[in-house]
Amino acid sequence: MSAERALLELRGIELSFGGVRALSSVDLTVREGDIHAIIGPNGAGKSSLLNVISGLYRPLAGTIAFAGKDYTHVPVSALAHLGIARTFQNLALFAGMSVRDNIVMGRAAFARSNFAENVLGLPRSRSDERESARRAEEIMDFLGLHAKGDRKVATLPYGLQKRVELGRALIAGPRLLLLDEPMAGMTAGEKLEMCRFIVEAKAEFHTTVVLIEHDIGVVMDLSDRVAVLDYGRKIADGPPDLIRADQKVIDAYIGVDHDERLVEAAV
Amino acid sequence: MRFWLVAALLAVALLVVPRVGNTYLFDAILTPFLALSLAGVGLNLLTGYAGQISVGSAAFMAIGAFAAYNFNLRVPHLPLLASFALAGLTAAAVGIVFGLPSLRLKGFYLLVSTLAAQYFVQWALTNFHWFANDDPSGVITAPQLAVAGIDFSSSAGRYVLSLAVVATLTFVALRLVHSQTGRNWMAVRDKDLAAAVIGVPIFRSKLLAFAISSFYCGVAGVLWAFAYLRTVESDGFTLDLSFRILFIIIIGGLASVRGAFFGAAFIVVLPLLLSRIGASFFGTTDSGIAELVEMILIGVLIIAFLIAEPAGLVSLWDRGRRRLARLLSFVPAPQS
Amino acid sequence: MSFFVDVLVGGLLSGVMYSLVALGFVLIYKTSGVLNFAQGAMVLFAALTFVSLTEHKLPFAVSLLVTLAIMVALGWLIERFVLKPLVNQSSITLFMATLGLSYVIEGAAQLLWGTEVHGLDLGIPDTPMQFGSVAISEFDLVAALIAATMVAALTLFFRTTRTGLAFRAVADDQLAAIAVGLRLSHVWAIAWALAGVVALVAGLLWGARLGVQFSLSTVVLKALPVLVLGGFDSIAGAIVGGLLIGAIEKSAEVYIGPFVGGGTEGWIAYVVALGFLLVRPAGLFGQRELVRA
Ligand SMILES: Nc1ncnc2c1ncn2[C@@H]1O[C@H](COP(=O)(O)OP(=O)(O)OP(=O)(O)O)[C@@H](O)[C@H]1O
Ligand SMILES: [Mg+2]
Repeated sequence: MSAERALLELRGIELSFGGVRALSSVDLTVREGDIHAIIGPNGAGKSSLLNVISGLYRPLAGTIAFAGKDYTHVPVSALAHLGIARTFQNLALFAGMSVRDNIVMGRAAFARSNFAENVLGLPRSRSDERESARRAEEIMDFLGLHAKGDRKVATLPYGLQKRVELGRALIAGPRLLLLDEPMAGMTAGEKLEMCRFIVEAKAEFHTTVVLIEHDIGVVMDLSDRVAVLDYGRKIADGPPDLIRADQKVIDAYIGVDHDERLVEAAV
Repeated sequence: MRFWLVAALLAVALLVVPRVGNTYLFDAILTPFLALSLAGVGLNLLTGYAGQISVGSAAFMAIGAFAAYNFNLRVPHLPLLASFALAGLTAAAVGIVFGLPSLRLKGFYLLVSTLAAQYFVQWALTNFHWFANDDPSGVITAPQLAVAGIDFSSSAGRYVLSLAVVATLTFVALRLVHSQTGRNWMAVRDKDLAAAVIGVPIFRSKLLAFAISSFYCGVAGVLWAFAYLRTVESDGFTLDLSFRILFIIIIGGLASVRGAFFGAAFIVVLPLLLSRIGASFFGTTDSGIAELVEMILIGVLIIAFLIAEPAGLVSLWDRGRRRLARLLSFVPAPQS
Repeated sequence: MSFFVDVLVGGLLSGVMYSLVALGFVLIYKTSGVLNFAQGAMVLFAALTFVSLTEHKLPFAVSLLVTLAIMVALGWLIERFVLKPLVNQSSITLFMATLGLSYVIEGAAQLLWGTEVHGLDLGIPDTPMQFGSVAISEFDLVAALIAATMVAALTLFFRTTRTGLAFRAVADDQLAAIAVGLRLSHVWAIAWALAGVVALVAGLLWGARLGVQFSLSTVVLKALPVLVLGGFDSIAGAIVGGLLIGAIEKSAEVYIGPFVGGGTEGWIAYVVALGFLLVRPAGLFGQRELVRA
C-alpha cells in the first residue's frame, strides 16, 4: 500500500534538558506516503522528537536525514522550503489575525515580493496575493472554514482553531506534515472530522504524516505504522496490529498507569 | 463606499478647511495633530503590528528634524520634499542600529535599547554643535517651506503641506499592513516560534519594522519642527514626548492605522479642553495645575483602556457606528 | 592610581543607590512578572509625602510611619485596581499599564504637595571621612549600610517567613502555587506593599542627595540598566548590577567624558546594558527562559 522509500530517517537522536534525558538514541524511519503515529505516556518525549525534526531543538547527537540529505540540526528557516510543515501541541495561531490571514501565512516562505513591491502594488506582489488568496480559499473549502474566513481566529472555538492550524500547515503543500496531538481536547465528532481531514489531505496532497496522538483507537485506525516512546526510548515500532499485541508496549502503559485505553484496545 | 468616504474627507480637509480655518485652528490643533498622527502611525507599525515596544520615538523624530535641517543647509538646491525623504532615511538607518538588539531581546528588554536611543540621541544632538550649525543657543529657525516654487510658510500653508505628507505616508502604511509585510509583522508579534517555522524571516521583519517606523517618526519630526514649532531644538524631543506617542497608539488603538489619528486627536485636544474647563468652571488659569490634571487623566485613561477597551478609541468608534446603523435600520424610513 | 580608586569608590557608592531602586523592581518582577515602570513615581511620591509631612511640623518618626502606611496602602490599591483586572495579559500590556500608573502617581504627588523642589535633611552629615587615601562621605556610607540592611532583611524574609516562602513558590511556579492553595492576589498585594516600602527608603536617600523633585522619577529609570545587568529576578543581581553601573558611569564620565564634551552619565548606563544584553540576555544571575514548543 505504501511506497517503500524512506522520506525521513532519524538515527541515534539524543536530547536532554539539564539532567532530564528527553530522548535517548532514538531511531525512526518514516516511509514516504505513510501516516506514522508516535504514541507514549506523558513526558515520553514525543513532542521533543517532533521539535528535533522541525529544528526547534538541537539534538546532542544523531543525524536527521530528510529527502536524502543529512542534517545534524535542521535549519528552521529552511523548513518550509524543505517541505516540512507542522502544528503545535498547544495552539500556536496568530491570535490577532483573521482565519484567512492565518492560513495565508502558511505560505510566507514562498512570497517573492519585497515590501517596496507590496507598497507599490507591483505585478509580483499582486500575483503573490492572488495566489495566496486562491489557495487559502481552497484550503478553507477543504476544511469547511470558508464561512469563517474573516473571523478573528481567537474568537473561534478550540476545535476550529485546531483546524485552522492544520490549514496553515497544509497550504504550503508540505511533503512532510508533523501533527502534535491534533485531536487533543476534541469531542468525538470533532475527532472523526479531523481524522477525515488528515486522511483526505494525505490522499489529495500526497503528504507524509507524522502524528502524535493519545487516542489509541484513532491511532490504530489511522496509521500505517506506530512508534512507541517511553522515557525517551523507542520501545516498539511497526504496523498497528503488531503494536497492539506487543508485550513491552502493554507493560509500559500499565507500568506508568497513564492510559488504560491502550490496554483496553489491546485485549 | 469606504474609499469615497475617505476621499471626501480628504478633499474637505485639503480644499475647504484651509479656506475657512483660522490661525489658531491650524497652529494649535491641526498641524501638531498631523505630525503626532504620523509619529503614531510609525510607532503603531513597530509596536502595534510588529509587537516591538519602543519608548524612543521622540529620538527618531529629533533625528529627522535635525537631518532635514542639515540636508537643507548643506546641500545646495535640494528640494524640500527630498530633504524630508532623506531625513526619514537617516532616521531609518539609526532605527536599524537600535533595532539590532531585537534579534536577541524580547518584550520589555527592548525598552532598554529604545531608552538608550532616546538618551543617546538627545545627548549627541545637544553636545555636538555641528548638528545645530554651531548656533550658540542650540535653537535654530526652520528653513522656508517652499515646494516647486509655491510657498507654504503661512499657517494654512504649513497645515496643507503636513496634510499632504501625512496622507501620502498613511496611504503607504495602509498598503503595507494589508500586505505580506504587515502579515509577517503580526505573525512575529503573535507567535514568533510558529512564524519561524512557516518561514517568516523573523529578524529581517523586525528590522524592517524598526526601519520603516523610524522613517515615519523621522518625517513626523520634520513636520513637528518645521511646520509646527518653526524651530529645531533637541530639548523638545524628550522621553515624555516618546511616552505620549505611545499613549496615542494605546488610546487610539494598537495595530490600527486609523487608531493613531484618533489617539493623536485626543492627545492634542485634551489639554486645550482642560484649560478651557479650568478657566470657565474654576476661574483658574494656572497652567501648572491643568498640566498635572492632564497627567493624571491620561494615566487613568491608559489604564482604563488597557483594562476595558484594549482595541482603543477606534473600536469604540466602530461599535458606536454599527449600533447607530442598526438603530437607523430599525427606524422605518420617513414617508415623503 | 589613587585617583582611579577615588573614582571607583564614588561610583560604587552611587551604585548603592541604584541597587536600592532596582530592589523595588525585582520584588514585583519576581512575584508577578510585571516590570513596574511606576517604581520611580512611587519613589517620588514617597519622598514628597514624607518631606511635606515634616514641613507641616510633624515629627520625623510620625512622618515616617504615616508615609509608610500610605505607601503600603498605595501598593495594595495598585494591585487591586490595576494589576488584578489585567491578570494574564501580556507583559507588554502590563508594562504599559504601569507606565500609565506612573503618570497618575506623579501627577497626584505634585498636585497634592506642589511642584517646587524640597530640601530633605535626614540629619546625616555629608562630611568626607578619610580611609587611607580614599575619602568617603559619611552620608554615602550610611546609605550603603541602610541598603545592606534592607537586602539582609529581605533575604531573611524570603528564607524564613511563611509569606516569604510563599513568594518564592509563586516566583517559581504560579500554577503549582495556586494548586497548593496560595492566594496569588495576597502574595501580590504584599509584594506591592513591600515595593512601596523600598520606594520610601530609596526616596529618602535619593531625596536627601538630589533634593525632592520631579526628576527623581527619571533618575530611577537607571534601575533598568541595572536590572538588565543583574537579571530582573535576582536580588543579588540588583546589588551587583547597581554597583557595576555606578562604577562604569563615574569612570566613563571621568575618562571618556572630556573627549566628548561630558554628559555621558545620561546614557552610558543604557548603552553598556545594551551591549551586555547582546552577550548575555538573561543577565549575570537571572534565569534564562527556555523556549517550549
Ligand atoms: N524546553 C524544555 N525545557 C525543559 N524540559 C523540557 C523541554 N521540553 C521538554 N522537556 C522535558 O522533556 C521530557 C519530554 O517532554 P515532551 O514534551 O517531549 O513529552 P511528550 O511525550 O510530548 O508529553 P505529552 O504527552 O505530555 O505532550 C519531559 O520530561 C519534559 O519536561
Ligand atoms: Mg507533547
